[in-house]
Amino acid sequence: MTIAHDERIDGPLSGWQRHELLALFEKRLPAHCILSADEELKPFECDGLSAYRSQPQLVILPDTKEQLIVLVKCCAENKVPIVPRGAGTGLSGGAMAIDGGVMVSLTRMNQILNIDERRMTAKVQPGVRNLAISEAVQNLGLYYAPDPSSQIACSIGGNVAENAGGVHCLKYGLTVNNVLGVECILADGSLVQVGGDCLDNPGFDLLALLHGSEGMLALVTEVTVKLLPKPELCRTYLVSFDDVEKAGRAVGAVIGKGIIPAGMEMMDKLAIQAAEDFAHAGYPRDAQAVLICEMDGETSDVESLDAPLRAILTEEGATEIRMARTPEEQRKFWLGRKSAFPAVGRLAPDYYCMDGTIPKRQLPSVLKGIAALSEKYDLAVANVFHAGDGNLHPLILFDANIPEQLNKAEALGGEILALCVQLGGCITGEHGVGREKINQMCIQFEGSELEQFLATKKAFDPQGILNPNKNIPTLARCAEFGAMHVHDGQLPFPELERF
Amino acid sequence: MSTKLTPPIEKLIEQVKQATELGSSYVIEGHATKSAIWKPEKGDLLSTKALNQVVEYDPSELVVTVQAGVSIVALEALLAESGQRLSFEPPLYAGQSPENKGTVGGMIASGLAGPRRPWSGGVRDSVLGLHLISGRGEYLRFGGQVMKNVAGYDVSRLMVGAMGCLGLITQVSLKVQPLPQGVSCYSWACSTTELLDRYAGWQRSMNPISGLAHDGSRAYLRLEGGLDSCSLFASRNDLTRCTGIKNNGDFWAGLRNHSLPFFEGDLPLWRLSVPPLTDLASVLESHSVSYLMDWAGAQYWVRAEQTDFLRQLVTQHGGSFCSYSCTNESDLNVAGSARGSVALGDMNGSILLIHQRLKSAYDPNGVFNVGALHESF
Repeated sequence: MTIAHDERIDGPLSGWQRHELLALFEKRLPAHCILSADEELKPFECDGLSAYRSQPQLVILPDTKEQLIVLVKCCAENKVPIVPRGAGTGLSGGAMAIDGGVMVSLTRMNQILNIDERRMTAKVQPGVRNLAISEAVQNLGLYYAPDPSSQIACSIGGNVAENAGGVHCLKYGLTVNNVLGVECILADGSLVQVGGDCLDNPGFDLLALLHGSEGMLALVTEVTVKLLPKPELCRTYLVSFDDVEKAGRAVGAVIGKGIIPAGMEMMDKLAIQAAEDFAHAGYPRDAQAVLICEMDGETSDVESLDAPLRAILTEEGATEIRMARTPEEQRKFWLGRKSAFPAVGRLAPDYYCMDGTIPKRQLPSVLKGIAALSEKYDLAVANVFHAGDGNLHPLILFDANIPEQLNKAEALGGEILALCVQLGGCITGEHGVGREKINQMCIQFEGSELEQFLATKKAFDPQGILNPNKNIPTLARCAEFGAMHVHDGQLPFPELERF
Repeated sequence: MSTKLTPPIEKLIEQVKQATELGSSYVIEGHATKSAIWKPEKGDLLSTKALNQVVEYDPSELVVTVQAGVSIVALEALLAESGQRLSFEPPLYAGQSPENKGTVGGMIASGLAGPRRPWSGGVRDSVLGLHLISGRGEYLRFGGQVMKNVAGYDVSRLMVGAMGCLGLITQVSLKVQPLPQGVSCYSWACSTTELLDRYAGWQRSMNPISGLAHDGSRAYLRLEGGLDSCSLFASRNDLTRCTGIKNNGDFWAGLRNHSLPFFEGDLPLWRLSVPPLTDLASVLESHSVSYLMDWAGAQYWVRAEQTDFLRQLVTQHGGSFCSYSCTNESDLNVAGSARGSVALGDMNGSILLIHQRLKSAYDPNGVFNVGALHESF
């Protein structure tokens, strides 16, 4: 079932035409902030999920929050939908344009406003790149912990909108755990501060609610982030297994014994081989699975955990444990993992990256399930996991030029997510729902829960102008999606225990 | 996916639906240990006592799922058996029995965290998911039992500190952490200013600090981490020569649970939340009030009759304050609409409107804890 906007089930579009929108904003904003020519709009037709495209009618690039307030007030008065966009690296179509609306790109608001050395915080504008924060405080021996793989390009405003994760969240948390406050513009154009410099604030925790809200509750204009001291020592281990399930069990064993790695990544055979061909990282080609385990912290603590870590991994059946001896070797271990996506991209013309999360103990079951689905759809799947926190990124290989292959990839992906839900997990760990997983939300949640989400949205945005129709499906959409599934006969893997 | 409801939950849902029909309200009650600091308007008591099950605990997942009526003491004992703990040190207030020092439901609804808060996060940072009964009597599940989950809005964390105004929490999944290998505590005489300045230096590199407090005359420092890192930190910073370093673990328990003599006085007690490393010592001393600094200067406990200067002080530092002795009605009035952990008196109009709309969205008929957070809902 398509994710494209369907007025029948998603609600009517605003009906605004480009020239009408242009007339509205030309009066209020400087000309250089408005893009309206086709060739200017083309780059904004998709985010990181390039399989889905929809060219915006108008893109506005405000320089200041004052301009943004003018824009939001105008949109509120005229009921013009706003699609906010950061760096456009999102992987779920959260920044997909909607017909009859305006896209707002916050990339020009890219200043680091203040670095408070004593309190170890930074106040930045939403368009500041994630990595730029760490670069700006490097000389102080500090860094900003959340590190989504897109950190070189993605913006902090987008990180808040998606509650971005990364490879180090098991130990250092997600964006929500590392942001102290935001200043934002509400749907009526009022500028408010949510959270701040304190560790708690009176009232409901709206700061938490804004994280991961995909630009549907407010537009962030400033973000105050926590900075951390850099670890004294960081050690990276490359651990091989001759069986993928053993690798899965080893992850739980290490954590269960009280060792919390800074990062714990897992790759299966197809991903290992692709990464090795691409990056020449020295990965063991014959292994069925590798774990990349990173330990960081104070020197003495990291050193004292070396022996227990090796003992646990050996007991769980590791066939080889290699510790990076030099910074160069460490870089190589990570290069293989970090280039897994482009590496897999060489195996097939297209790949589709999934983002389910499961309890770690279910790793063996989910791997079996994915293998069976891969066979059923006759599409290869390479598995790359943030194993420490049970976040899976199966990469489905396909060729969009072969008719029906995209549909098959989507269907396979949908079944993988349904499997994650069955195993007690969820349909998205860090990429967001956006437009991509709008149908799978109907599997994750019941109608009453979706209605509660819609009511929550309405509390912030009664007119529904902020990024409408993302993240939360209408009940009409779920009714059609559900009917289709029931018609199919049964949910995948009926033999699995239901939770 | 649907959830099979147990009889106690079905009964609670029935009670909520009845209240909706009758137009009556409930005061949600666990162990009633926070009644001294938290007062909803009148209503029938609705007990979470029957929700007493540990739903799931697998130490290797670092996640525990328990029902709301489980006692915090029992939960911590369960975790300790597997060498784990709650990271945020919820306060255990004296109750009717040693076990009854607060329930998990109250812990989430109040959102109160102990001395480790600045380093290990608050209650909200450990919440992964929860189930609740809305004011419509609907059983709703949000979040899950996994570390990462961005499906839908983060309603689970919204419930932390909401004082039960948005629904009856029936169960919660929490992230837990392994117990540290080493714990050591130090105390020495120095000024608050001196302590905060030293801390400003310490925090710039890796350190095992998990508690930093001052009682107006002495500094208290707690280290938790690897055995080596704790002792190395202590020797590098000349802490080993501190006097009275042995066993001030009692101090930390007393600070966490508000059982230190400081908390037993007759003068009204106030809590100030200010940015970390805020030095209020000289102002507080100039008003001759006694205080206890916690959270490395982000939280102050103050005993004072008059509050005008406290209001000024928190406004100046971008913080907030509230009463912790609200059995006294006049204290409540002084703090505006403060009841227990929050004071919304000075809240921005747009933000207050969102609060009111959220209340209507989750509890349209005002069934739960009316007035517990704000006089308008």
